[in-house]
Amino acid sequence: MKRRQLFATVTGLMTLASLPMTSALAQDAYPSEPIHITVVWPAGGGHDLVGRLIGHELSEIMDTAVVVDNVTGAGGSTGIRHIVEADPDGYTIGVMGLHAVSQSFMNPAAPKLDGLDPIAYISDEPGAIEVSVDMGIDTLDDYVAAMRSDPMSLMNGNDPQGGNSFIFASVIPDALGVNMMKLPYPGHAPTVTALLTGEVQTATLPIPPILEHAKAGKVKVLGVASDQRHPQLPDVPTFKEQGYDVVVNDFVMLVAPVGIPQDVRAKLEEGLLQAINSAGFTSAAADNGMVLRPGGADLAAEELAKQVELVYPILEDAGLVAEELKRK
Amino acid sequence: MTPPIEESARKTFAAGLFFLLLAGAGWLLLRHSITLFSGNQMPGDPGPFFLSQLCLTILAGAGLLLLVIGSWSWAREARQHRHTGAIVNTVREWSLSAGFVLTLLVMPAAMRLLGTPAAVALFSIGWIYILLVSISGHSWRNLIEAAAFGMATAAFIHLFFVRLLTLPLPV
Amino acid sequence: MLLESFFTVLADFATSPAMLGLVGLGAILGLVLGAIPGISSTMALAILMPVTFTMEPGVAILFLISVFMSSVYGGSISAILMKLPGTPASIFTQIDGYPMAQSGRAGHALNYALVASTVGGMVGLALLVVLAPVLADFATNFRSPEFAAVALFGIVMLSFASNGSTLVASVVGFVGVLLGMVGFDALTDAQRMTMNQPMLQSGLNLIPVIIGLFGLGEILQNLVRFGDSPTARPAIGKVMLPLSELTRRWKVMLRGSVIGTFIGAIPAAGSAVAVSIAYAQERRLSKEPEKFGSGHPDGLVAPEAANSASVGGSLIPLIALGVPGDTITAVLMGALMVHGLTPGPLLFANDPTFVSWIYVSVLLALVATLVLGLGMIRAAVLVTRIPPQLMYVFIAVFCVIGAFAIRNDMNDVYVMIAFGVVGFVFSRIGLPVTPLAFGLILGPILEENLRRSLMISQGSWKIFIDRPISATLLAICVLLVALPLITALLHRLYGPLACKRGGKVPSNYPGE
Repeated sequence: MKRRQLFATVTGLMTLASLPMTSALAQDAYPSEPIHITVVWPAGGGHDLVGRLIGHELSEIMDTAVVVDNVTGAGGSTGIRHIVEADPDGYTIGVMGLHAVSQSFMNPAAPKLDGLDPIAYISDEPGAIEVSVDMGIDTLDDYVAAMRSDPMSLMNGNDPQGGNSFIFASVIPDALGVNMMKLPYPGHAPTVTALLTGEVQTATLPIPPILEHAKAGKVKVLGVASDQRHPQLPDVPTFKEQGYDVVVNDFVMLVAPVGIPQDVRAKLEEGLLQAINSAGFTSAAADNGMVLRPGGADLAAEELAKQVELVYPILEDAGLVAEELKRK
Repeated sequence: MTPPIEESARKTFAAGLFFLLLAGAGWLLLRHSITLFSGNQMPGDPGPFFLSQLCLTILAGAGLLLLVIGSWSWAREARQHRHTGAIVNTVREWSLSAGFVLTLLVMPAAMRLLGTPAAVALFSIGWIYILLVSISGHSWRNLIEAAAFGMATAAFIHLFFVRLLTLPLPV
Repeated sequence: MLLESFFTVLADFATSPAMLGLVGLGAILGLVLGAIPGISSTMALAILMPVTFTMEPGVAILFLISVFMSSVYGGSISAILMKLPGTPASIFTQIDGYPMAQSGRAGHALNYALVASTVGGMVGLALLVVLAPVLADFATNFRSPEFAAVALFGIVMLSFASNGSTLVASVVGFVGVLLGMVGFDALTDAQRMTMNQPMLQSGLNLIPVIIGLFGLGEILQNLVRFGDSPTARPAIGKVMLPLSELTRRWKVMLRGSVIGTFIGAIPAAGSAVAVSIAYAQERRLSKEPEKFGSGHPDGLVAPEAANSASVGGSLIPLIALGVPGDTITAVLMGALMVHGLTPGPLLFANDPTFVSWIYVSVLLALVATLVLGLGMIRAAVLVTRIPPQLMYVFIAVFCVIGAFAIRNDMNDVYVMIAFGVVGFVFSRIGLPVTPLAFGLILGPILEENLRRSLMISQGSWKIFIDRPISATLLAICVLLVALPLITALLHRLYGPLACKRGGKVPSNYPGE
């Protein structure tokens, strides 16, 4: 009796475990194993969402299991290192944003960007400035006037130094000609909470974490720092429309370790592009407030180079570039 | 004054020494971090090193206090020298725990080199056998038991964590 | 209106076998995953999220909530039977649960935990349904100064909640606070005590630390003189608990539940803080505080109730504000977004049925966990019959895998081992271990909020006294510290008056 139960349990476990192995029979063709998508932030965040949605689509397109690994810690550097040090066989890719660029300048122990091979570009995440509706501020001009009369009256919530909303909070006030009191919060969710509970009056978050609150009328988005208006907030004018010339954005792209064989890389790029363009991903991502601009490896590499040039001077101004990483 | 830790002078002394060493090490590490820091500090912020320095000060103070209490009551106690035999005995007593820690320290490297299942199998077979031997001495039966359970552990880890949950463990 | 839709949804559920089956399945998976050392509630959710891709959003939420609720109790199983706390909250389950299991009362301990966790969950849910707006109001009054005050309050409470010397416990707590600062500063991104090493830059994650401190530390302790004497395995003892034993502790359960709900409702405070305050408070109120730590049921019941109640609490910021209260609700929120529902004030305000749906899911998950958990206890206690030579090796392997799995980082394995040694050394020189974990939980919350408060006030410490909630909390802290000093002084002046409270009791580890 006992033995039979044990036998049943073991066979049950074996069948479960052999599921991912079935595709391993076709050994030669890529992909023959599960593809791992590394997300450098904890489960539940924006990057995690992208990783899981893309993973779901990719598993159908490539006909293989796709797993999301949250490799977190050290401001995202641990996860990026995990990607850089992975075997370049096309089975480890990762979701990356501006944080990796910042870290590569701020932290001498962080992996260098040249260890990463951009494979596909997903979206721009334009900077923006939001204000609590209780403040009665409706336009950027109102905001600038209020800040000029008392710079301390409106405190801004943003990331710690190097995070995307910190970069936005460095670029935007410069363009507006005001001094901003920047209060740091460890991540976007705590910043949103602080804005809603009234600890801070403004925030420089990108749109996704704030979108629902803006739609509910709890938070007023004063302007978006991109060339076009945000597709989910068509009534919010850009900074340029209001006479302030500032464009700044984070980005979301997919990267892999350098050195993937050409044919595998091409296959991966194609699969990822299909996943990014799939109806399932685009609708969910758009609902969430992402500004999709799907592109292949070339666009991703170009955007990454552009961001490096944008971020370096900001960090240098703030005294954040580590001594040994300074450009001569 | 009675020593605060289990009323034992020796333990209080050891704890005091431990806290002092920790404070010293922490201070060295922190000093390196302070030289490294070049960022800006917000007005009003007591800074990223404020609370750690406070903790280190408390630690050093408490360590010193315990050290003094410990050595004071130690001196008052009739000095019992521990026999060399006792020390040898302690070393023998601790040898299994120390060996356990050392093999665990090798585990991450072994997992990368041999893969998780093989490393887990080696670790489990080895240690189940060692523990069985220290209960009932060497016998083939023990070796077979160790091998069986060791392999079973490795198989479980492989099936459950690597295959089913697809954790990125080295294979 | 809400209550009405709550009952409509409940009636729909109760008559749908498919839904009930799904709740049952989720509860089984949650119990098993939660009970496996090294898989936390957050991980269980993340692991099972892909399974829900093809489900309807509401069904997926129902499934995930039952996984989550049952994994909270599942985590207590490994804490009680193996001294392996898989979540920060189960540190406290282990303090009194493991000694109970070691003395042949494993079944009782599991029963206490299960019932307390069900009661806590129910109270949390009831308060959530009835008081959500009030609690949300309460929660939004918490800003940086209040968070700092709560963290300080927790630290003060906990330094008195330890057996043995308060001074030593507080100093160990400060070691924990210090260790919590290793890595990047959350406010300036400055590196602290890292020597530029990637391993230290990641900081010390709580889970590998507690797995090492308690799980591995216990094994190393048991390996001393292993085999010299025949190792006695604890008897299984009676598995089922007389009902009177449970009902006798209704006050403890209720107090734990209320604390759990309120503190759980404060965004970012989370279950770990709720549980630690519930434990410390129960020990203060207890008539036999010296028995805490060596298998007192109240020390197990209070934190279990608070832990489960904090789930209801943590849903309050999510439902009232649309922001996640802790990491676990963040994963739930992520799951909603995968299904195209972005939680925000609109989703919950415009759709009371959806809110009822969540409430009913929590209720059914609790019932399923209770029923299935009771059925599992008989099997689970068999774990204590596994011979030690196998048990220690299994646990060590789980410690390694679990430490790795929390962030998929091999460095955390080294951290786990290091803290195993720390746990061992601490128990050898008679230092309490738990305050280290408290410090590690509360230290970062204290530091971040203390400094942010000072930034807001431009460096003036008056901000903590100007705000009523933080002022009250600080006043209680001062009283807590001053009272024993004053009583000690009176004691000295007027001689021993009443019975002596507290006393020398072996710390968490069985002493030498």
